[in-house]
Amino acid sequence: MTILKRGAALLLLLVAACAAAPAAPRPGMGPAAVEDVHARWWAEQRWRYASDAVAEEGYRALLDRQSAWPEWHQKDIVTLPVGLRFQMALSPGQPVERPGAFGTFDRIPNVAWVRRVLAVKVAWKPAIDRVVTYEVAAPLPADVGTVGPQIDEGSREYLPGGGSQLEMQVPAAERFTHLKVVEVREIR
Amino acid sequence: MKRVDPVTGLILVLEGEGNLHVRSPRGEPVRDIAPPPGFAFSHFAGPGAVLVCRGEREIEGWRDWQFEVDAAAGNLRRVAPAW
Repeated sequence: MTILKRGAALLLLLVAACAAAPAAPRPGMGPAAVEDVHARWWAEQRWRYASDAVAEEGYRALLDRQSAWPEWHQKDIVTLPVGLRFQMALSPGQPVERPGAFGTFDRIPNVAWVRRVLAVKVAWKPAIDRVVTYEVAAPLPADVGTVGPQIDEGSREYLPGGGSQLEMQVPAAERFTHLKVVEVREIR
Repeated sequence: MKRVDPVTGLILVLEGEGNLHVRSPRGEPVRDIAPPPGFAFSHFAGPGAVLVCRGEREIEGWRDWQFEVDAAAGNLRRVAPAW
């Protein structure tokens, strides 16, 4: 009888553990893929939250808002000084004179690294063929910090992020006036 | 920069940051499409009729967005952030 009670208690614990980390299906993703990416996010990020319920809210917020910054990021606008260099991945056909808003202080080795460490979803930038190294030519206000994790629902992958990141804080038309091109190279 | 709209067969020609020209498959002018308010055209996001537009300010946390072109109607629809 005691063994039966212990078995029932263990079963209840297992059920409760599963229920604590629900993984609702998303459009275009099968249940197995949903559980996998959710479990991977959960394994790395759950500790940041006070409870399972709050962690689940954080996961949902990431799916909905797709912030490029981690939830813990505190906006930190600094003025990047003249001479500072950073890199940016470009799409085929994207002129170097029309940079995006985001760059990194890390060296970009290949496209897989862009997806994983800079957590760039395929939907955000379907193709990448070059890396440009820019140098700040005029003081440039930018938010700086660490790349946040993403769930790429299209490729069904958890993108952990963790690279360095800057986001220019000037209107798009002014970005290139603060920059000069040092190098452009192809990546795959 | 040119693309063929896979739905209509119309040709999209991007010139500079302010003009998207729509032409018939035979090259005749159909219409011009202006960028959404607060944005400038940048480049095509992929092989289809999706344009990256760079913005003056943040919308839902993002400055740059991708817009799908409805060449037949002359409309743009914001579909996803652009990194």
